[in-house]
Amino acid sequence: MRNEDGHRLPEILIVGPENSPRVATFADTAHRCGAPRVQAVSYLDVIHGNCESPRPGTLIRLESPGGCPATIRAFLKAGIAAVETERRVPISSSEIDNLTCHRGEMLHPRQWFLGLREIMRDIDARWSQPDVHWMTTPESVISAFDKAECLARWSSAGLPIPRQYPAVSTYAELRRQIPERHARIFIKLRYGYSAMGAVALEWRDDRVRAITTVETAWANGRPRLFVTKRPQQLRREFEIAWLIDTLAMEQIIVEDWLPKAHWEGRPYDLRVIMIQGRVQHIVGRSSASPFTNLNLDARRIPREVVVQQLGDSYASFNTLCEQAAAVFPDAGMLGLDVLVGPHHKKFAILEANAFGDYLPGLLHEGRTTYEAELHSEYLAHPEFCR
Amino acid sequence: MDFSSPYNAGIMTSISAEQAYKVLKSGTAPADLTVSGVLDYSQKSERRLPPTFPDGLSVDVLDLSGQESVTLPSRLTCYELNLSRTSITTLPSDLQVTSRLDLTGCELLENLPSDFTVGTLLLRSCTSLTKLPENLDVWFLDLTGCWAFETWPESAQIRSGRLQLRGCTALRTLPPYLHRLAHLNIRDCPNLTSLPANLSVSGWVDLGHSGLTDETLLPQGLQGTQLRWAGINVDRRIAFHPEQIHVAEVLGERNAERRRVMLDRYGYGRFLQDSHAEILDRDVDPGGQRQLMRVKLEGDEDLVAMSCFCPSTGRQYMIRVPPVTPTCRAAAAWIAGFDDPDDYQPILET
Amino acid sequence: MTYSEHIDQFHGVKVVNFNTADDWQGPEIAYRLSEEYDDDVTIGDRLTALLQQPQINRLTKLIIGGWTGSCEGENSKEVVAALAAAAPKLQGLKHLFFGEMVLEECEISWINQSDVSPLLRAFPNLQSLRIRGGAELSFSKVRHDNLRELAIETGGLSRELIREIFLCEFPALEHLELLLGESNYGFDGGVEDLQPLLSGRLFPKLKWLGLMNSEIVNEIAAVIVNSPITSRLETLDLSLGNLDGEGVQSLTGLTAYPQLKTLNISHHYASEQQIAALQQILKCEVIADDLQEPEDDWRPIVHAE
Repeated sequence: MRNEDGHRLPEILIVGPENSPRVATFADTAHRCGAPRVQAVSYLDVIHGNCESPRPGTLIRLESPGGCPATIRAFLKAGIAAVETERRVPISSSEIDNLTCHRGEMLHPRQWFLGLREIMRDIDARWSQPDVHWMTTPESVISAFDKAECLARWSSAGLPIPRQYPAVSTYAELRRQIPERHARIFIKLRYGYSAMGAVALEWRDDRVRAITTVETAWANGRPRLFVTKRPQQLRREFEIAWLIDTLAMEQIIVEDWLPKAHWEGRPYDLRVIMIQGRVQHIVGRSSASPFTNLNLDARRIPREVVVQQLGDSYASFNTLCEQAAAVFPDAGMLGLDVLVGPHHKKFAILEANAFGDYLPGLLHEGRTTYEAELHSEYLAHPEFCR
Repeated sequence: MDFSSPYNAGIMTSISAEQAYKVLKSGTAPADLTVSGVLDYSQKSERRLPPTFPDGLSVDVLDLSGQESVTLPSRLTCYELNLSRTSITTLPSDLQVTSRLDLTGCELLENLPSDFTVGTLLLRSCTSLTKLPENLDVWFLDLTGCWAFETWPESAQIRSGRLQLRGCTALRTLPPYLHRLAHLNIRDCPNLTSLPANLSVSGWVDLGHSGLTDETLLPQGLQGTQLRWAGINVDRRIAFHPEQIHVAEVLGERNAERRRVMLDRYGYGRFLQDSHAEILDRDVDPGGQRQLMRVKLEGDEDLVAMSCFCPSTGRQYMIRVPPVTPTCRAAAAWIAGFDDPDDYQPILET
Repeated sequence: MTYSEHIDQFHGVKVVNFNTADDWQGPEIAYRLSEEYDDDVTIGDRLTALLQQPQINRLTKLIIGGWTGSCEGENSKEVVAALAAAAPKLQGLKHLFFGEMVLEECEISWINQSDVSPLLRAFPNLQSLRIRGGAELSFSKVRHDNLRELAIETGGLSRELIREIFLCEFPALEHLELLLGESNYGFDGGVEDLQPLLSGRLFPKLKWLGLMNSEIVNEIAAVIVNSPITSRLETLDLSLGNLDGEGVQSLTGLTAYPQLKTLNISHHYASEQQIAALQQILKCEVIADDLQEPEDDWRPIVHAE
C-alpha cells in the first residue's frame, strides 16, 4: 500500500493505554497515510508479557501513559523497587490499589517516573532484538521526562534556560538559598507534566505571594493535590510554605520566574513541535496567569501571528530550537516549551515533552502533527520508500 | 460654610508641615498661617506643643490627641481636628472643621459651640456632656457611651449618615427633626422606647437591649430597614417576639453569631431548662446549690453554664464557662479569674 | 484574580508597546511605555526615544506600565519627574494611565506610587488620569482646570489619600472612580470619610461616580441614597465590592433620583430575587453581573492583595 507520494510505510505498533484518544487518533492517521498494519498494545499487556514482540522492520510509537487509572497504578507499582533502592519509603502496592486516581490529581510523580523508567527500559530490553525503528527511543522518553536532566543537557550545550537554583527540600531552605529581599521564582515538579505542581512565587521584604496551579482538597485529614484550571493566589506564608514543602517531597526544580512577551494584553510562550530535529508546528499559548498550558485553557495563538511577532528574531529562535532538540538525537518528536522574553528579544528553553504532540486540529503545511511525524519517517528512512 | 475657600487662597501661600513645625516652635508664627498637610502634636508623636498656635491658623489636619492641656487659637480652620482624650471643656465659637472633629474620650467636655457644622462629629465617652448645641449640622454623629447625654437641641440637622447612641442610658427620646439616616444605633439605650414618626433609615437600626420593644412603635419609614441586635442582623420576630423562638430553632441555627443572639433573646436560663440540658455536676456553696449544665450545639462548642446563687442577694445567676470545664468548682475558679467578660458574662437573672 | 491582562484599547484607540522607534505609528494611537522585570532597556530610555518621534507633540494618549525597579518596590517618583520634565514635548497629552501593571508583573497593592501632583501641574491640558496602586500614592494640593476624569485603582485606599484628593480642586471633574479596597491592604477609612464628596460640595460637574472594590459598599449604599451628590449623577458604580441584600435594599432609595441613568453593582452577593426586585423598582439601567457565592461568611472584594 502506498500513499499519494508513492511512499510506503512499514507496519506500526503503538504502545499506549486502551481507550486513549491519542492512540486512536494516531492509529487512524497511520491507516490514512497508508501503513499496511497498525497495531496497538497497552502498557499493561507489555508489562505482563501479553503481547508478541514486534516483527522486524516495525516502527514503534510510545504514547503517553497518562489518563488511565490502571496504567497509572501499574507505573506506580513498577516504581516501588526503585524508590526502595534510594532508601525511601514507597507507596505500597495495596495503597496504590486504593488510589482513586482522579483526573488532574497529583499522584506521587516521583515514584511514577521511576516506574516509567523501569517500564521503558524493560520494553527496550525486550524489543531490542528484532530490527525495529523507534519513533522516539525509550531512553529518550525517560530523559525528556526528567526536567532536571533536560535543563542540564541544554545548559551544557550553552543554550539559554532560566537561571537554576540548587534543589531544596523545604520552603525555609529556599528562602535561605535566595537571601535577596526581592525574588521572583518559578517552582515545578521535576517529574511533573501538564502544569502539575507549578508555583510562581514572589517575595519582597515581608510580603510573599504565590500563584499556583495546585488546589488542595482535604479528605480524612489528608491532603490531595489537584491541578486547577483557575490558578489560585496564596498570600499567607504558612500556606505557601506548606505547599512548597509538600511539592518538594516529590523533588522540585527552582528557577527564575522570567517575564514573558505579551500578545493582546496577555503573556504567552510557545509550544514548538520538533520533528526529526526541525521546527514544524508552532503554537503560541497566552494566559492571564503565569501558566500557559493548553490544558489550563490558555488561548492559542496561530503560527503566522507568532512568526510575525518574532520578526527578525525568528531565525535565531529557529536555530535555538534545533540546538535544543539536538541534545535528544533519538527523539523523533519533541514538544519544546520556549519562553519569549519581552519585546521578543530573548528566549529561554523551558521544557521538553516527549508526548507533546497531541494538538488535534493544529496544522502546519496542511499536516497535523501526527501526519507530519509519519511524513518525516519516509524522509528519515529511505528504506521505507519503495 | 464655604469648604474650599481657605484652601483656594492657601495654594499660593501655604507652607509645608515640616516648615510649620519650625515656625511654630520658634513662637514667631504669623497670624493666618496656612499649612498644607498634617500637624501631628499627638501625645503619641512625642512632639512638644508650641508655645501658642497663631490666630487664624489653617491646616489640613491638626492632631492634638492625648495632650493634657490644649488651648486652641481663635479662627482655627481644619479639615480634620483630633482632640480625642484631651482635657478640653469647651471649644472656641469661631472654630471651623470641615470633615471630622474627634472628641472621643474628652471626659470634661461640657458643651460645643452653637451653629457648629462638621461632617463627622465623634463624641464617644464624653461623659460630662448632657446636651448638644443649637443648630448643630452634622452627618455622622457618634455619642457612644455618653451616659449623661439627655437633651437634644430645639433645632439641628443630623442627616444622611449615621447616628450612634449606644449606651446613652439617660436618653428618653429622639428629636422630631430626625428624618433620613443611613444607620441608627440605639443599642443599650434602655430608656428609649420609641422613634420619631418621620424617621426613615436606609441601612440598619441596632436596637439590642434598647427600650424599643414594641414593634407597633416602629415608624413607617423603617418598614424595609434591616434590624440588628448587638451588631448581628436579625428579623423582626427575633427582635420583637423572643417568646416565639423555639429551642430547636436555636440549636439548628448554623451561624454562631446569630445563635448567640437567639440565645440572648431566648434567655440562657430558660433555654437550658427547655433544652433538657445535661447536668454535669452539682454541689453546694455558701449561696446554695450550684449546677453545671451542658447543651450540645451542632457545629459549635458545647454550651456549658453554671447556675448558682449570690450569697448576699440570693439571686440566681447563670454563667457561661468554657466547654471543657469539668466541675462546679472548676467553673467557679474560672469565673473568679475570668479575663474576657464580653464572651462569658453573667447572663441571666431569674 | 485581579487585573491580569494589559489593556489593548485606551480611550477608543489601540495600544502599542513603544520599545523602539520602529514601533511608532503616528500620534493617533496610544503608546505604552514600560520596563519589564530584568529588562535591558529602562523606561527612561524608552521615554527619551518616544520624545524624538515626529509629531510627538500631537500624542494624546499615554500609558505608563512598570518602571525601573517597580517589581522590587521602587516607587514612581523618578518616572513622575521624568514624565513631568517631558511635558514641553508632550503638550498634546490628554489621557494618562499611570502604573498599568498586571498580576504577573506586580500585585496592585505591591505597586509603590508617589506624589502624582507634579504630573497635574506639568500637564494643564490633561483630561483624564488613571492610576493603579495606592501604596505611597499622594496628591499634594493642586488645582487643575481641565481634568475631567480621575480614577484611582487600589487594593486599599487610605483615609489620608481620600483627604488629599478631596483637598485638590478639580472644577471640571465629571468622572471620579475610587477603588477603595480592603483594610488588610491599606483601606483605613469609613463611609464618613467620603462625606465631603457625598455632600456635593466638591467637584461641581461630577456626574459619574464610582466607589468601587469596597468592603464597606453596603454602608456606602445606605448613605449615598441620602446624599446631595446623588442628585447630580448619571452613573453610580458600586461594583467589584461585597454588596449584599442589605445594600440592595438600601439602593431602592435611588428611586428619589430620576436623573440617574446607570447603576452598576456587579460582583455582588445579593440573591437573584433581590436584584430582580431592585431592577423592577428603579427606572435606570441596573448592571448586576458576576453574582458571588460567599465562602462561609467571608465575602471578598475583587482587588485586594
